[in-house]
Amino acid sequence: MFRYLIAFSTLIFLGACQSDPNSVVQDIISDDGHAIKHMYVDETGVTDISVVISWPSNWSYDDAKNQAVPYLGASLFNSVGTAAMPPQDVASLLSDKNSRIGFFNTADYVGIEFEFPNNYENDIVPVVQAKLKDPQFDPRWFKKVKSDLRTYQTNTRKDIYAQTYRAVRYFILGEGPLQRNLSFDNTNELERATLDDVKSWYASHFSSKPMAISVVGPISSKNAKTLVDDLLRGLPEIATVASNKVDTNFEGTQIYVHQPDAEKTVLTFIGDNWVSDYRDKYADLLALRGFSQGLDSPLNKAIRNELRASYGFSADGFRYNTSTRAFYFVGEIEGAKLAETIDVVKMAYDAFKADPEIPEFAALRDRTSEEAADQGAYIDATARSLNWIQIDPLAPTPDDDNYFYIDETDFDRVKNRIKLDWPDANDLVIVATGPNPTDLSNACVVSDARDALGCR
Amino acid sequence: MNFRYLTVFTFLGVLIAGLWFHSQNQHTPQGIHKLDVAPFDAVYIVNDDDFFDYQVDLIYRSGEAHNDSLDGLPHYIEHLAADRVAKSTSAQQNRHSNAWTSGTGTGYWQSATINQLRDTIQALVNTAMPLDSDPEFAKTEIDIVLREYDERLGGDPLHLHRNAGMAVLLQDAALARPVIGTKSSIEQFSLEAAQALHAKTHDLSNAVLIIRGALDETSITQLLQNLDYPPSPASKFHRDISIPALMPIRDVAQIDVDKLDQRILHFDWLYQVDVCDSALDCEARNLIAAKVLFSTRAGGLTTPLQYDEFVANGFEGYQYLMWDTAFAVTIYASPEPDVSLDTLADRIETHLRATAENGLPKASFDAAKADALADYTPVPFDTDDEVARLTTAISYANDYRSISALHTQLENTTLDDVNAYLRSMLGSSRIVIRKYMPAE
Repeated sequence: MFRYLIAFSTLIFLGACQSDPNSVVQDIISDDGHAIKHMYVDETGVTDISVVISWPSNWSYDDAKNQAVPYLGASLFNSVGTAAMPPQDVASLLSDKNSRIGFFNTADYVGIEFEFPNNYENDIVPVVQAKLKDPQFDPRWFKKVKSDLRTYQTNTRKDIYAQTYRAVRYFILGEGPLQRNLSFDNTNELERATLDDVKSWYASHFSSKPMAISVVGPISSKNAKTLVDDLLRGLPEIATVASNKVDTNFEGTQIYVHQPDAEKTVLTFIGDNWVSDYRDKYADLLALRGFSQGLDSPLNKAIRNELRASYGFSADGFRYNTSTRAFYFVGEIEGAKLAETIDVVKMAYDAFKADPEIPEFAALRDRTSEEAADQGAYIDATARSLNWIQIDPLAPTPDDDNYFYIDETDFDRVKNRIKLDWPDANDLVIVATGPNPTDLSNACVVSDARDALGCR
Repeated sequence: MNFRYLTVFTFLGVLIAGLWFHSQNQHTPQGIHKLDVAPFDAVYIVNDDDFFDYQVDLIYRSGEAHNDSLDGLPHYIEHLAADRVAKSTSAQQNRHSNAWTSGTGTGYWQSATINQLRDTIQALVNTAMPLDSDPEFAKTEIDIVLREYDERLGGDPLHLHRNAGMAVLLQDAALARPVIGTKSSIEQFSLEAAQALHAKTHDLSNAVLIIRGALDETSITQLLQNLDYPPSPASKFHRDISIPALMPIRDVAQIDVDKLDQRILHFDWLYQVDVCDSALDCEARNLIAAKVLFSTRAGGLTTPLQYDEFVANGFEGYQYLMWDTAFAVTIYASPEPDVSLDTLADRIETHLRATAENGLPKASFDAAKADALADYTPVPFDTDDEVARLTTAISYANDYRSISALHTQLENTTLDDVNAYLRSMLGSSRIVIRKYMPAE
C-alpha cells in the first residue's frame, strides 16, 4: 500500500468520473450510494483487479451465539458451488482464470474478497454474485466442512504454540464469547452447530449495507461503481451494529502450561500495546524490530549470544479485535534455562525501555519502509489495506492532509513511545509451555490452557 | 566528536561513493551477468539500479549430500562460519545477514551499503578461512542447533519416518541425508569434526558469488581482485551425490506413530525420464503436467479425490526434479473419516496411472500451459524473480536457466511432449507408500 500512498493525499471524487488518476486512492460513491475506496492502477503487467467488502458483526460478542458458526459459514461458502455450477466446476474455473473468491470472518466483521484478471470479469463476477446472493446450503458439504474443522481442532489440540496462545487468550480475555470465537477450540459448540445456524449467520450479516468496500486494479471508477452496485443490489437491508467492547486483563503474571509429552519448551511475553495516535503504530513496529531483529538486537543478544538458551526469538504486534492491541516476543528455549531466560529477557527489556538504543535507526526504518512498499505493490494487499483503514478506529482518515508513513517516523517518537507507553517488564504476561513445570517453580501451573482463567 | 560534522562527512562520503559508482556504472546493462574471477567458480553480478541496497550471496556447491560424517554436520559448520560474518564490521551496523544449508549447497548472505560492500564481500570470503571458532562458543552452538532442531522439527511426529522413507525412495543415495541431522547426531558434533569437513567443503573454487545492486563489471572485478583469500586446498574434494540407476520397487508399509493426531498417507513415486531434449525441456513439461495433476482440471487428482469420490479430506501434491532426469511425485493426503488409507492410496495411484496412460485432455493442457506462461513471463523483467531463480538453481546444483529461456521453452512445449513425459511414470519407477496411523 505504502508505495501507492507515499506521494499522494486522498482525493475525493464525488462527481461524474473523468479519467482516473493512476495509483491514487479515491473516495467514490456509487449510484446506489455505496462509499468505495478505489485505486485505478495502470502499470505494465498489472492485470488483476481485487475487491474486498466487509460487513459489521457483533456475533463474537454475543454469549448466546455458537462461536463455531462463523467458521462453518465461511468454510462452507468457500467450498460449495452455485445453483448453476457444481463446486468442482467453480474450482476449475477459478484455477483456469487465475482468480480467487474467499469469504472470511474476524472478531468484528465478516467479508468477501475476490480477485481476477481484468479480461475475466464476465467469467468471475457472476460467480461471486451467485455465491453472495444465493449461497448453496448443501447438507453434504456442511457435513464435510464440519469434519474438516473437527480435524483442525484435533490437530491443534497438541500443538504447543496453539496451547500457549490459548492460555494467553484465556488469561487476557476471560471465558467470554470473543475468546471462544478466537480460540475456536470448543468441540461441543462445533458439534452442536447446525446448517440452520449457518443460514441465520448469513442472514444477519450479508446485507446491502457493508461497512467497507475497496476496489483496486486496472478498473475505472465508473466500472468499479457498477461492479459494486450489481454485486450488492438485491441483498436485504440489515441493521447490524459492529461491536468491539471487551474487558481485557494484561496484569503481569507467569503461567506454565504443563504438556507432559511436549518435546520442547515455548516461551512468550505479551504486552499491552494500545495506541491513541495511529502514528505510534509505526513507531511500535520499528521499536519491536529494533529490540528483536538480528543476532545483535538486545533480545537475541541476551538469550542467544550470552545465555545460549535459544535459536532465536521473534517479536511482532497483534490484535484480538479492533479495540485491543498487544505485542509479543516468542521463541523456543532450553527448558532448564527457562527461569534464567525470563530474568534475562526482562532485564534486557527494562534496559531497552529505560534507554532505547537502536543502532543505525535510519537504515532499519528505510529497510522496513522498503519491505512495506514491496508488500504494497501487490494489488490484493492494497485492497485489503484500503478496506482495513475504513474499519480500524485508529486509521488515518481522508481529512488528514497525508497518510503517515514509516519514512516519516523519527527516532524521538519511537523513543518516547517505548519509554512512556510500553508496559514495565513486571507488567508483561509471561506464558511458557513445556514438559517440566519445575522449570518455572514460581509460576501458576496449569495442565490445560483453559485453566489459565484461574491464574487471573 | 562533533556529531553534526560527522553526519555531514558521512553524507558527503556516501554521496561521493554513490557518484563514483554511478559514473562507473555506465556500461553494464540491467540484468544478470556472469563474470570469470578467480578464485570463485563463478561470479554473477545482478545490475539493479532500483535495488534499495546491495546484497551479496556466497554459495558453496556442497551441502549435506557431500557430508561423509555425522548427519547434519554441514549445517553446524554453517552456524560456526556464519558467526564470522555476523561479527564483521558491516553486520554490526544493522545489516541483514543470514545463512542456510541444503542437500547440495551452503550459502551465506549479507546486505550492505555502497561503502560497506568491500567489507561485506571480504566477510563472506572469510567463511573459507580455516575454522578457528572459540571452543566454548562451538560447544554451546551445539545447544543452539538443538534449539533450531526443536523449532523446525520438534513436535513433528513424522520427521524421522520421512527421513527413512526418503532413504528407501532414493536407494540410500547421499541426497537422502537429513540436512539438519538428528538429535543424537547433533549431540555428537565436535569442533574438530567440523574443522575437518569445513576444510574440504568450503573451497572458493567450488563457490558462486552473487552481488546485486547498482554495479558494473570493471569496478567489481577490481574489488574482488584486491580481497584477501585463503590458500587453495591442495586437492579438490569430490563426493559422488548422484542417484544410481533406478531399481524398480514398490514398498508399502503401515507405521503406528506416537503423538500423531490423524491418519496420513504419504505417497512417493520416483521415475526416470529420458524423453526430454534438455533439462530446460524437462522443467517445462513438468511445470505444465504439475499444473494439471494437482488441480481440479480434467486429468488432475483434485476433482475425483475431493469432489466425485469424497475419499480425501485434504491433500498436497508436488512434482519436481530430483536429480538430472529423475522426477518425483510426492503426495500427502488425509482420508475422509469413513475411508481407509488403503482405499485412498489405491484411488491416488489409479488416477495417476490413468492420466499417465491416457494423457492430458487438450483443454487441461491449454489452460495449464497458459497458466505456466503467465507465471514465467519475461516482460517486464522482474529482478527479484530472476535472482530467486538463479540462487535456487545454484543451491540445488542445477544450471541457471533464465525465466526468458523457460518462457520460450514453455511456448514450444506441445501436448504430445507433456504426454510423453507423463508416460515415463509407467516405466522404471520406485513407489514408496507409507500409511501413518496414530499409535493407540
